[in-house]
Amino acid sequence: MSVQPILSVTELKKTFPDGTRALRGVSLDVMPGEFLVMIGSSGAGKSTFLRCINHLFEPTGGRIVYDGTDISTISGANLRRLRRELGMIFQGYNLVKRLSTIENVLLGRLGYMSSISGALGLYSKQDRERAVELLIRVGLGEQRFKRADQLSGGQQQRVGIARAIAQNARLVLADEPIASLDPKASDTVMSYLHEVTREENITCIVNLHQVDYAKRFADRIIGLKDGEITFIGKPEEVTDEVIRDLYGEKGDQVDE
Amino acid sequence: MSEGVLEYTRKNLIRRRRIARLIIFGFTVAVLVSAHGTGFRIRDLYRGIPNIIQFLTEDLLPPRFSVWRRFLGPTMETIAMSYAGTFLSVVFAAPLGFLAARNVSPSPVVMQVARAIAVFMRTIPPIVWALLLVSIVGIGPFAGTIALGLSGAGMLIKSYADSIEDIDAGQIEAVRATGAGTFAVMMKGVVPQFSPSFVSWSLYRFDLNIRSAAVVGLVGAGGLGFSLSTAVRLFRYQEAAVAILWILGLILAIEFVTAKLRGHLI
Repeated sequence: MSVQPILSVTELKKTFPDGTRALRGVSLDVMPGEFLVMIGSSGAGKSTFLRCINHLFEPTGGRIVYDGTDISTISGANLRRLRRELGMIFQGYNLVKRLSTIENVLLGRLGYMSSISGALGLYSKQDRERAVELLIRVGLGEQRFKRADQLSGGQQQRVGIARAIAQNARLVLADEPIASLDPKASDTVMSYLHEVTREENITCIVNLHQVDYAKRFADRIIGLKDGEITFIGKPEEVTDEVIRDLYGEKGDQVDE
Repeated sequence: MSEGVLEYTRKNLIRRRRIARLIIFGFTVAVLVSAHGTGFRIRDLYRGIPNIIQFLTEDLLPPRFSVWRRFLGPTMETIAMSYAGTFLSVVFAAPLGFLAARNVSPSPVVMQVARAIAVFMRTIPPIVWALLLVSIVGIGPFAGTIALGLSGAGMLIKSYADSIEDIDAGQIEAVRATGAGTFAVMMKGVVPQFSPSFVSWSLYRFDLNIRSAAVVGLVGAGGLGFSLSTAVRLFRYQEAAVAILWILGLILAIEFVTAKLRGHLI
């Protein structure tokens, strides 16, 4: 392949201080523009994998190369510059609840501002206009002056998407974005996430434990089990056998 | 087997009863010893009752209401002292509260130092601070204000730090993940979550300061307390009674106002 991967992870390991080996050597290349879905049961290490990439967790071994640069031990100002290119979407949305919806989107600009002007909220006019546009795009233009905690779960997660896009992220890491949502809101959120990242040509790694959503949206599916990759393939290659292997014998664990 | 259990629990019960008896005996001895040490005698208290009644009915009561205007200034001074003292505490405690909170402190050492400062300032009662400060800066509300500021800061550092430790880590994590600098993470991720408890604790401190202001005044640090101690020292008990009523009214009024404010702001 002539195209260089945007993210190349080699033998990534993470052992927590309590001895839990969450990642036992994960290697993965992610191509620019890919919509990658990682499936696996709770505790398989999906979340840890994403958090090691933007160093919310420090990996304990292995190599991470982002856009040709080794970021395995990145820190300080370089880490800040890296993080602003990596948008993150959380299971619990993690909006700053007491701030307005629009300001939550603007938080995505903090990585581009000095710490002082960020702290004072001196967002540029351009940033403000872009934030409004993004909110309109995820269908929340009318809600922009509401406090974030007045929005429903699905709406909050759409704000989470807008925040990640506002960062001009090149890679979005979505950690169980729909795990706390009802089926209808899940559908909307996944559709927006897929649509917006396709339009902006943003690479996306999404952790899910709903296999049906993974099959519907993914370009490629990764199966993670006990901190190791046990499956890589196209959605149509995810057979019942693969799912049994990932989630154990009982089928009812699939959509826990 | 069941007999073994019965025997064991029986012995246990006897042992617990014996311990209870020992504790009660210990308390009784302690009461007698301390009564002896302080010269407390029921008989004296009993014989003193006429004196108490005489003092209350002839010296203290009725309050000489005609002098109520004289305490207007000191009342204002007490409010001003409390307010300025609270302001000092807040300014001092806000940054230290952040440093003392485990989840946002830059390092465990800084956290321990900040906590130690808080303990030191809090353990010394306001009246002791006031005694020291009156000797340093002289009699007057200035000493009282600083005394309130110092003891209040100790309490606020701890309260602020505990509140910050209770906030949602996810919201901070999300702001950090955008690449925001440390100060921006504090102001945008931590402060919005912390502000309701910040307001609540600061108002509560103001409320407490009104009470403390009356006490520190007794050692010469200004305000209503100072007027009260002056009146007592001059044997003008009926004027002292007015001062006490002023203090009571002021405490109730401020408590009412701060409760209302808290309800509105949060």
